[in-house]
Amino acid sequence: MRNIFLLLTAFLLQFTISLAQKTTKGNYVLVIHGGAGTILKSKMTPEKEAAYRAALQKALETGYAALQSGKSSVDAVEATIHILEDDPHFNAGKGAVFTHDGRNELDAAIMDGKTLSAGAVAGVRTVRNPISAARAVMDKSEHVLLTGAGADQFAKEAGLEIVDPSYFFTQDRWDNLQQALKEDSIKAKKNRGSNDDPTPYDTSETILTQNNKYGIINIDNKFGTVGCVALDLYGNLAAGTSTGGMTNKKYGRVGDSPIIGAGTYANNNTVAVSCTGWGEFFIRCTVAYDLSAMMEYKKMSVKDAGKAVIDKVAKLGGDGGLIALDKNGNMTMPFNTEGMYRGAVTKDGKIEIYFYRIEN
Amino acid sequence: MSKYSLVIHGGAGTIVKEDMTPELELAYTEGLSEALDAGFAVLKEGGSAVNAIKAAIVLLEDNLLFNAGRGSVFTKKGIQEMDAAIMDGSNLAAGAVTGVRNVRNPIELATEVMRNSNHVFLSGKGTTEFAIKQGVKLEADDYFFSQFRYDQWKAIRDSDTYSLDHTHQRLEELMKDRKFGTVGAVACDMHGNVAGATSTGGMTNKKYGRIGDSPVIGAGTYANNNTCAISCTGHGEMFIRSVAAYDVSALMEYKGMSLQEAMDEVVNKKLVSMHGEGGMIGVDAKGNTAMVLNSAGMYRGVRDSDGVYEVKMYK
Repeated sequence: MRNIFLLLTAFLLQFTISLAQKTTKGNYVLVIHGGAGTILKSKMTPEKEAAYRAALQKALETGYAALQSGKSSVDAVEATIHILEDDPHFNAGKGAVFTHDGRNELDAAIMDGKTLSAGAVAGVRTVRNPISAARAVMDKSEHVLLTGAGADQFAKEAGLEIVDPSYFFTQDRWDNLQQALKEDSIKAKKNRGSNDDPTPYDTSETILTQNNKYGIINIDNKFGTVGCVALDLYGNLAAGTSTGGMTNKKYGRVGDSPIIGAGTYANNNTVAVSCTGWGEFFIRCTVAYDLSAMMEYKKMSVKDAGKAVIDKVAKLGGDGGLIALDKNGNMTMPFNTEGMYRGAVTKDGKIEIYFYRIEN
Repeated sequence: MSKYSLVIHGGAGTIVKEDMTPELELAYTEGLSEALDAGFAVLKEGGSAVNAIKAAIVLLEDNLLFNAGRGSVFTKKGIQEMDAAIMDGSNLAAGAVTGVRNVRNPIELATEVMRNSNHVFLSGKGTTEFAIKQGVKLEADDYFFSQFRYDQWKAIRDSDTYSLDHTHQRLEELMKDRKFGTVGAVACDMHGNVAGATSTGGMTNKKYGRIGDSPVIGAGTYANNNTCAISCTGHGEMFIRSVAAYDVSALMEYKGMSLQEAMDEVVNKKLVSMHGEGGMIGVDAKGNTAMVLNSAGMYRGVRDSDGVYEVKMYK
């Protein structure tokens, strides 16, 4: 009798432990980022920190509320990204960076992990919330990727809120462009009169130093993208990304954000991913889909696959970060920059927000 | 020196023998053979895979029969907007352009982006600026004009459809490729480097600045010396959603599949399950080649240093 009791206790104990592991393991329902880059505590003021924290908090609460009320992960991603796009602290929607020509050209993508349907826009100039334009492409067109004035036209016909391009103006971003243009003209004199793209594309390990030497890339000018991944009550995953691209970008440059498989990907069988960083490297590495492929084909965990893809980007000389949430609610937020604005919310509504590397 | 090989395609779709005439079949065969020979000559001289596919694609772009460069289809607005991408498997460098106008050979422009810019993907008017800066050859609008593409477009411009179901002359009937007709090339050179490239005029009557898979690295075009080089053609949206070109590479790298097995998995299983019609060509770093399609036909050809030389159209 005593033996049976002991056995029962042991069994119960084991059961409780495995239950506890399960709940702490698959715990997250929504994860966001507000861009990766040189985010250092030493350069942060308490006011600035509080502002970023408040913005991320509001975005997380919004997305969580959507999920709690039974909305789909696609709805939650869109609602969350609206908050980040409307907040001028981030390089998406209002507060987007300026192109070389002094314009705001916005990119966004969204993907539904349940159906593998996707929508994306590149180079829109009049849609208040580019993520909703991407959503409209997914829901209301037979296409996946629309660009330029045609994408604006589509958004207008889809009944989205259209704004004057001046809506996106912020003084800070304008000053950033003026600074970048000034650096360009100084470099032009140094570099035998050629101010744009003085170095050919180089994939060697010295690319970072080389680019810094020429000063052609201001590392901080291309980050600040926002993204969100979510898992809804029905077990469906979704991912979205929205960005203003790089300050001083030329020639209609498109980064990874609106590229399905590069900056954005979602698949119920595996994971939802949104990336931020040096877009060219994320495109060349097909980062978001690669993470999914490693989980599906190599049975890697989301954490291991997340680390592996960021290592691949780093090996080519690129930097940035990503957020990923798997179908079981496990998440990871790897990056190889100094910091990444990021946050997550658990299914109990517990909010976590991080900025710097050290906290990881 | 290892085996070297080149594979090209001129689009997949409803290409069936019953619709073909001997003259047209000959014209396609000649067009494909010329492109194969031009690319193969580069490989034979010890040239790079990148230069070989570029040489092949330039000829396909210049050929009125294919929907790329000269002979591209018309958009809803009655203009031609072309897309192209190229990727070098030896260093994973890539270049792509979309919404290109007046550039004689969009593949040349994509190569300039890869070699001489800090970017991978350029779009719209900016591509013209970049083309001028790099000295890439431009042509006036009428250079790209072809009567059958124009008639195709006229027949459907006032509808919201993207396909063609109305024809009255033989050539037009034969040219009812609808959204297909993209060109592409993949090669493995004697140094074991692979490269892939794709060029297209997109879909007839496309609007809203629609982009298909061709210029999207990982979707329509991909190359990596560790695995393969791939160029796709078909229903672009499905190829984007399934990240088709990179998926072949991932299946080879992570699941140990051969090139042929991985391409079969993607084209005949994954794409078929989402009703994604089309095909792809591939080469691995050992010079093995494959051409897989789930549509009725695909203009395609392969030539390698073992003496294989084939041009095919039907399934």
